[in-house]
Amino acid sequence: MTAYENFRTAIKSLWANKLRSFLTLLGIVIGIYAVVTLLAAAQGVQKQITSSIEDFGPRTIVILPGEEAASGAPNITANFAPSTIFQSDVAFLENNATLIEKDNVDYATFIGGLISKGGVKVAGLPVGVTPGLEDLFSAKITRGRSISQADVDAKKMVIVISENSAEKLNARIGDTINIGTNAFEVVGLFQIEQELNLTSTTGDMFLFPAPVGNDINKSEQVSRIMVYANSVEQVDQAQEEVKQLLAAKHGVSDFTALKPTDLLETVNAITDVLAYMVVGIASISLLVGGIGISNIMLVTVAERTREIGIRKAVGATEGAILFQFLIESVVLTVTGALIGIALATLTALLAAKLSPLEPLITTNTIVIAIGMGAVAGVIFGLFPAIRAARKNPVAALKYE
Amino acid sequence: MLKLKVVSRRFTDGEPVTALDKISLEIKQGEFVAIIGPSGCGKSTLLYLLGLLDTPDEGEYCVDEDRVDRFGARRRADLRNKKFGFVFQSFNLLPRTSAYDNVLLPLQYGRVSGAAKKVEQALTRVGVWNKRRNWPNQMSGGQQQRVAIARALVNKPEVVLADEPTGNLDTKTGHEIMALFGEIHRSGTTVVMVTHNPELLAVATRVITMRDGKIEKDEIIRRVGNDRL
Repeated sequence: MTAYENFRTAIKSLWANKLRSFLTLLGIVIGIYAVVTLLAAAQGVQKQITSSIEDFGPRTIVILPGEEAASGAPNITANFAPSTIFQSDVAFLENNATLIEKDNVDYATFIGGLISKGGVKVAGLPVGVTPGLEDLFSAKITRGRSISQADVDAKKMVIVISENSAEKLNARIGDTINIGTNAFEVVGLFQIEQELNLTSTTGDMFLFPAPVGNDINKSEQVSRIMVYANSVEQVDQAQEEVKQLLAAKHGVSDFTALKPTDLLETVNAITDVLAYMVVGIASISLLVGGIGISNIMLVTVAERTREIGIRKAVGATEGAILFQFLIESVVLTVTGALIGIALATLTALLAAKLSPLEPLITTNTIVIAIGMGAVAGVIFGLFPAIRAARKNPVAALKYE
Repeated sequence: MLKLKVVSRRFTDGEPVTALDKISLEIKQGEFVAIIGPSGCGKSTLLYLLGLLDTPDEGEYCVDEDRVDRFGARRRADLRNKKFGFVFQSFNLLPRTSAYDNVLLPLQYGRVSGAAKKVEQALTRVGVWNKRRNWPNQMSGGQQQRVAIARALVNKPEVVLADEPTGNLDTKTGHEIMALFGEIHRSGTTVVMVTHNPELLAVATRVITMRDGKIEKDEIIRRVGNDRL
């Protein structure tokens, strides 16, 4: 008997017991739905994070205050201590590093202070920046202009704010807003293209010329320095050069020089672990569904004992009977998997529409889900199929 | 062609029973053998054993020159498919399956080419081609048994084994079915039939009477080729 003939027989037999077949495959539908939905959510988050990291550009090296953590990740505790990197480091790197773009070292200085206009106060993150840094934060100027080199050189008290903050503060271009006691003129508005960003408060950022931040802080300390390797190929050497130069200047390695790809590895490692975990948890429902399949297949085999006898009498081998029942259980589980995938796709589309999440169902996920369905069909259908195949034909023919 | 040498078959489920007790028997090509005897005498066990649905506990069974009692399950299934056709008392057609697909079944397991033509010939031969799309429950007993016979014949087996084929039919239909078996035998097929039907004696060439798992009487009543002894 060919695989096609077995498939046809399986469909006919399952169709003859529509309600039972449907109820049986519900377990698999739920299991596969859970696996695909959770995997899609995890992969969606991973993609969003990855693309926001990649926005930093493959040549970018970010220098942060604080000694590098053992894992190569930024030292989180350093965020709570006074910064260990300075404006002089910016100039030093511009003058001494050979593997980075000479006149293109950016830096950012965070300042504190309440943000207000008139009587309205908002929470936010005031950041002094050099030109071009807003690109790194995925900020797109929608009105007015961005911070220019002239603003930086002249330490102008100008500020670029998000459309969102502008609305809250009822601020337009030309208006004045205060950060602490310092008044800034609004010269531009921006919008964040990537909602989910590593710097999750980008939507509340208030950008002004970086040296102004240093003047306000009455300190040379800066919060971030950004340098750009001459080429993508040289980014590793450039990172090493920056580390060596700064360590020599400081006399100690009290900073972290990161490539975005370093972060990417960390993020991928975390999201991969999360993905495996959710798939593991979701697989439990698949296991429950599979046991249901096993149970119903055993009932089917018992009910069709006489049929098995007839098939053996006309020449069916044990292998043919085994294959027939295995195909039947695989058809059941793969159908369940396809329905589960369809429902998960619908859920993903809905979630993308109604929430900031962008679940991602990849071809890989679909192949894995169908594969899981098929494997569940084989595993949970095997025992009933073996029982069917081993039935004594004489006893089977006499079965009432 | 079929040769049993001192064959025994015992069943040990529940009370031990010796269904066949050291039976020796040879069936030649072209014979029409009727196996008769009281219930429980081992007739059906003998038939299933001859058809390779069962295996002896002792003794030898040869089909042509092969010791088939030593065959594995796969070779037995293959031989069953090619050499034997079965007809049962209760028809044993697959439910919710058309007459056509029921007859197709042995050809599918035998991976035989030109199946459609063969199914048509078999159903036409037994006179139920017009019922080919019907499920078993949409046919009369006689029609179902004709479909079952078509299924037994479709692979052109050398031996047709029938277990009380008229047992579930009324007299008139039983008569028609017996006539059909006579026709099958005349076309050269060996027939071995377990029966209670005395009408069979009109078509059989040999009658084996069994009692308590043994052959009590083995009479050749006509020579093969229809010459009455």
